[in-house]
Amino acid sequence: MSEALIETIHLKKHFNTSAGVVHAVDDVNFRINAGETLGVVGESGCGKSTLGRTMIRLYEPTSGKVLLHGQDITALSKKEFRSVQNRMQMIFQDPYSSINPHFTIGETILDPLRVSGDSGDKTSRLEKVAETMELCGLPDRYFNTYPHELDGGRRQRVGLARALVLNPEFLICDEPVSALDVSIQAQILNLLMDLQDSRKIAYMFITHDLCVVKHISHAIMVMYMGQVVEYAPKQELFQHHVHPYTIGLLNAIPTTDLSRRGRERHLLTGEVSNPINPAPGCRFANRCPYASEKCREPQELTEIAPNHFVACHECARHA
Amino acid sequence: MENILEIKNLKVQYNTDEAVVYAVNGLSLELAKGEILGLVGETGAGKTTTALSIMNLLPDAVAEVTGGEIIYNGKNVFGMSKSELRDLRGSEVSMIFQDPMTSLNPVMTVNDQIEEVLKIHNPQMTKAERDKRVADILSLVGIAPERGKSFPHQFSGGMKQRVVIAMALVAEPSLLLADEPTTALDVTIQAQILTLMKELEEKLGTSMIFITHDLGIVAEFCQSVAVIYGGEIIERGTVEQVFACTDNHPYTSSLFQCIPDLETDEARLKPIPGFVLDPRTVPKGCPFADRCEHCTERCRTEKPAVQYVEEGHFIKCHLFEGRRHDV
Repeated sequence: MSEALIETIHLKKHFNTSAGVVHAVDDVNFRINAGETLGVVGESGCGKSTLGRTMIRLYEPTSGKVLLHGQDITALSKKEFRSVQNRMQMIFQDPYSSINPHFTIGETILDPLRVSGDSGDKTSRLEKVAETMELCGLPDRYFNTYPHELDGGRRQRVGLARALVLNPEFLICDEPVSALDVSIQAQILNLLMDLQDSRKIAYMFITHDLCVVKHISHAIMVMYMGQVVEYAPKQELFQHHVHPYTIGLLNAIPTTDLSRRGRERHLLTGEVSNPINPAPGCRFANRCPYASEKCREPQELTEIAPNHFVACHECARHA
Repeated sequence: MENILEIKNLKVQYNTDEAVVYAVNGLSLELAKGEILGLVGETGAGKTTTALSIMNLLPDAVAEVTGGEIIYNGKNVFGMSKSELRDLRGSEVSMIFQDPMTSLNPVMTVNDQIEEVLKIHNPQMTKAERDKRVADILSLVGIAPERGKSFPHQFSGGMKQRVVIAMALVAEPSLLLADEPTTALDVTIQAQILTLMKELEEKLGTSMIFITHDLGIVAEFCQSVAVIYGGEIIERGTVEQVFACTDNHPYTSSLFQCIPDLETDEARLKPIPGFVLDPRTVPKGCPFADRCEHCTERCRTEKPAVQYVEEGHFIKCHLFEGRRHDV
C-alpha cells in the first residue's frame, strides 16, 4: 500500500454549548493517498463539515492527530503550521458568501500568495495568478471584475483558483457543487477530476449527494452523528453496503431510472437527533429497524471485507 | 380530460432600475384534473414566476404581465377582483414554498397558523370544528396533534415542512403548487415528505404542479413532466415518454447526460457548454440555440414551433419538424 498523504488518528472535535457537549466529530480514522479522493457523505449535522475544518485546524481538534506525510500537524505551533497550511486548502459550499465582495477576482486569487509569503516578486505572482485562472477556466478579462458580476459557477471557479494558486497537495471540497445548477455542476466536477489527473491532488469531497460522490470518489466514508458508520472503496460500498443507515440513505435517492419506479422502498423513519451528550451505544439505533439490546453498547469499526469497515455488531456478525 | 388550469402564451417581465428581466416568454401549459406535473428547469428558467402568476401573487412593484392569460376552472386569474382572488388563494389553489424555515410565522403556534387558514376560508366553521380539523390534518401529515401548541422553532426542518404542507392542504385546495418543497431537506427526510405527498394526493385527488430541478424526483413522483428553459416550455409529455429518452429536446437530453447516475459508471460527465440564458435578453430564435450542439442558422433566427412526436408529447425544436409519429 502506498504511503498515505494525509491520515487522521482518533480525531475528535467536541463543542461545549450551554445545552451540553456536542460530539460533532467522534473518533474518526481514515487515510487518503496522493491523487485519490475520499467522499464523505451524511445528512446535515452529521459532522462532515466540522471534520473538514478540524483537519486544517480551522477548528482546533479536541483530541487525536492529523498526519500529513506522517507529521502530526496538530502538534505544530501556529508559526510552524503556516508553512504546512499552504499544502492544504479548502473550497466552500456557497460561492456567494465565501468570496470577499470588495476584492476583484485578481486580488482574491493573488491574496493567498501574499499571505503565505510567496518568495517571488510581483510579476511572478501575477504570472501564477494568470496561470491558475486559465487552469480553472477563467478568462483573464475577469482579472479586474468583482464577484457580483459573475454567476455561481464562475464564482466557484474563483474559489477553486484561490485554493489552487498555492499548489496544494490536499484539497477539502465542502459541498462545492450543491449550490450550482446541474449543467454547471458537471463542468465543475469535470474540472476537479482533470486537475486531479494533472496535479495529483488528493481531495476530501464532502457532500450529501451520493450520485456526485459515486462519480468522483475512490473511497467513501458514511458518517452519522459524528461517527463513521461505514467506510469502503467505492465499488465495494455501492455493491455490498451493509450498514442499515447506508442502505436507507441509498434507498432514499430518487433516480431517473423508470424501472426502479414504485419499488419497495425501505424508508428511514424519524430524523437525526442532536449529538449532545450522546449515549455510548450506536447513535443510529433509534431509527434502525433492526435495533436490539446489544446496540446500546459502543460499536466498533470492524473490517468485514478488505478495506471495508462497518460500525455495527449485527453486520459484522453476518459478514 | 377536463383541464383545471390553462396557461396561454404567458409573458412576465420584471422592470428593475438596472434592466428589464424577461422571466417568462410565451409559456403555455395545460394541467388536467388530478394530474401531477413536474416542472423542471434550472435557476432563472422562470419556474417560480410561473407559479406565482397562477395565484396572481407577482410583486406588483416590479413585475408586469405583458401578455397571455391564465385560465383556472374557466376564469382568467388576471381579471379577478380582490375578493375573487381571496377565494382562489388558499382554498382553490395553494402553494408550498422551498424554505420551510421562512414560510412559517415564528410568533404564532402551529395550531394558530393552520387555524387561520380555516378562519378566512371557512368562516361558518365553529371553533370546535376548526380545532378538530387542525388536529386531523396534523395527524394526516404525521405530526402528533399535541405538538400543535409548539412554535415553529421547536420543530426540525422536516417537521416544519410537514406543517407547511398541512397549512396548504387544510382548506382542501383543488390545485397545489409545490415550489421545490424538498430542496432544503436531507435525502432521507425528502423521501419521507415525497411519500407523504403522494399518499395525500391519492387520498384527496389534488392536482399538483411540482417544481423541481431534480429529474430523479420527477421520475419517481410525477405522472407528467414539462421542461422549462428561458421562460418557455420546451418539452412536455408523460414521464414514460420523456424518460424513455428516445425523443427528447436537445436540452432535456443534455440534462440527462450531465447528472451523475448511481447505476452507470461514466468516467466523465458531459456538461452543457456555456451558461444559462441571460434573462435580460429575449432571443429571436430558440432560447437554447447558443448551447445546443445541433444548432443551425435557422435556430437563431426563427422560434421553433411545437412539434408533437406522440400523442401528449411535444418538443419545441426545429429538429423534430415532420418527425411526428402517427397519432
